[in-house]
Amino acid sequence: MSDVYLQALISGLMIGGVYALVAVGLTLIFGVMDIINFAHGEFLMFGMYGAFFASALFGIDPYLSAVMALPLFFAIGWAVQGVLIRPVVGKSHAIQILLTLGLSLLMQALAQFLFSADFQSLKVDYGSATFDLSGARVSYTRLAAFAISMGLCAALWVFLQRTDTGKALRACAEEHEGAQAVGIDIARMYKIAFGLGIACVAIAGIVMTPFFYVAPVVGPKFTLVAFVIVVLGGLGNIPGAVAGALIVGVVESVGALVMPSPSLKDLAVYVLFILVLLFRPQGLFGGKGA
Amino acid sequence: MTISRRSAVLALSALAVAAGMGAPRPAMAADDIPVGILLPLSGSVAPIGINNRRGHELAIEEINAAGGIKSLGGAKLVMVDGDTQGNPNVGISEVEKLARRDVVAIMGAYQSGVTFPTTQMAERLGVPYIDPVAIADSITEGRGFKYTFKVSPLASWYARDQIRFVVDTSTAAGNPAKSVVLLHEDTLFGTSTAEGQVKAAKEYGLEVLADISYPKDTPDMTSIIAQVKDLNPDALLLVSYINDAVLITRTMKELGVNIPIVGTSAGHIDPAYITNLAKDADLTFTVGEWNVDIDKAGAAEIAKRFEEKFGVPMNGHAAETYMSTMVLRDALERAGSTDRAKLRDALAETRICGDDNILPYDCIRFGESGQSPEAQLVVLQIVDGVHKTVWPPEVAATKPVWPVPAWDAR
Repeated sequence: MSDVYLQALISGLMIGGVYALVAVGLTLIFGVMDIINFAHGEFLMFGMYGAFFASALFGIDPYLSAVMALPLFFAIGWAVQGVLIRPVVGKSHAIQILLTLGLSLLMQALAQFLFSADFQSLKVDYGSATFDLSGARVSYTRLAAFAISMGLCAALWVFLQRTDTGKALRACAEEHEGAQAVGIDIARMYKIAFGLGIACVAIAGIVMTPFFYVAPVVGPKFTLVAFVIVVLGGLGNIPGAVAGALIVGVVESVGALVMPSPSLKDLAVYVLFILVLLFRPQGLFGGKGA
Repeated sequence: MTISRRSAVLALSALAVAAGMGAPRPAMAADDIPVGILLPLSGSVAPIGINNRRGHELAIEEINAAGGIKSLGGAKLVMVDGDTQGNPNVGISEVEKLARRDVVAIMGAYQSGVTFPTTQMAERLGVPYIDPVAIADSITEGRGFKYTFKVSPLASWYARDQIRFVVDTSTAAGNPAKSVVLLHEDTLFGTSTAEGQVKAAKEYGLEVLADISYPKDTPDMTSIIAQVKDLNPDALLLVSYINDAVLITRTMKELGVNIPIVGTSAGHIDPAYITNLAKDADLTFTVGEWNVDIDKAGAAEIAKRFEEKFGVPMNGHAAETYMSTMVLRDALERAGSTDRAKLRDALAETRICGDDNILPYDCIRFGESGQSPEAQLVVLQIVDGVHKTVWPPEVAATKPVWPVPAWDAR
């Protein structure tokens, strides 16, 4: 029986890594711009469709698509921020929520219109290959998704800590007016933050395509998980988001075994969420700019 | 600044309207007969809903081409879609919308969880409701509804035939099965079938090692399948829609779980199961309502026309929706009226038998509760990417492959 728990722990960590990349994008956007991006999961979904068509039409491997997605989705995020998000920065949260929620619905309907409701699978030859790890079977594609996601989170972290642009972003997150006062181009920082957030979530989607289905409706579940993680980790806190994501991944996976029925596994995550909100509302690891 | 925000909002709204428009309303002539088709045309079950709709579409095309409803002066049938989005609440409001559009009857809604409340709304509004595919016993049994007509077999019959198949086939192979694990999605479809499976397992002497209910559309089934591997039953009985069915099979291959998969129609009988899993779909069993290779006159021809028109093979769902449309046509002819109460009475007298019925039993008719009493099931196995009938032996086209070879031995 402990084999089963080990399997659950490992698969929980693997998916937690991908959740981390999704959540890090969301927390970056919130940290720098104070925007709650309800359409986050839909960018993941479009990333997946991009990889799917690249593979189906041109035979491009999804991992190659992930590399190409970085500049592509950064640019898309940049453009979306400039055109749609910029007008509501600083406005009431209600307006921001309506905008990003509307964007989410629009993107889902657009995807269904363009690609049909049929869900797709990206087939790769190495798709079901697995290896043994003390009795648990680990699939190479899930391990790759974990490694790439965590690698990108680490790279983002280094970027924010060591580079000038990264420091400027953190400055905006901590203190908008002060940052403007020292001459940081806030509008540009917002575009960069959004672009990075969107690039992260799109790549998270792409690395999942070898083992997860592609459909217009996949977004909301990831948006929801990302929200839980971001609150758990502390809004705007990147290492917090990563830790929170791994915790949620494991709770979900082991929850499926421990709860009286796997249908309640999400309940385990939400109970944790509510407990954190009640007893440590700034998140397990504290607030912004960390 | 204000201008660019306004134009952004306008642009977004215009796009939203365009994207949300969907299919245009059919242009109707004065004496056309509107027929309500209530199905999940968007959302996670949409691929199956769209496939269900094809059976209706083919039937209506044939009916209209043959001169429409003769007793009503050759009036043609027109489909009026109600998209439930796979959601019971949306389904209920779609029933109201369809009733206001004066549909003569409603056919739907594929999912048991949506069919159950929508039949109730239709009963209240006095609209005849034909259920071609949804199986839950509770849709007809014990309700005393007069306007619900269920063509599909009961969920408990699916369960019973599934267990009988496992016992028969494993015994014939020389190693009678002793245990099963039940793994089912958690809406009415899954739970009602599981109840039937537990009862049938007891009746036929199979031990149920675990009765696991999982959340529909779950992205990761690894821990649950690891649990199944640990339990090591002689067969895994699944009740899943399409996404879960594909994910479960994939996960079983990844974890090296070598247990025969026996599905309960739905996801396992949908063409998308095979297109998404390719070779890995092979050797899956499923209970089915019908199959292309069934020994019934006219079945092969209709299947051929279906495949030519839609480019996918016809399956049990499409056969049921096709025949349900024929049931409606037959009732309209006999009623000679589009009055809903008269149509209801005509439906209650339905008897479509023998060669007129392509489903694998003699007559489609309706009992007191609205259930079709003769409805029967078959069991199919996917061989080389095609569903083949393997049980019961009287109608089987080929022998089942049992025991099922391990994943790495294929």
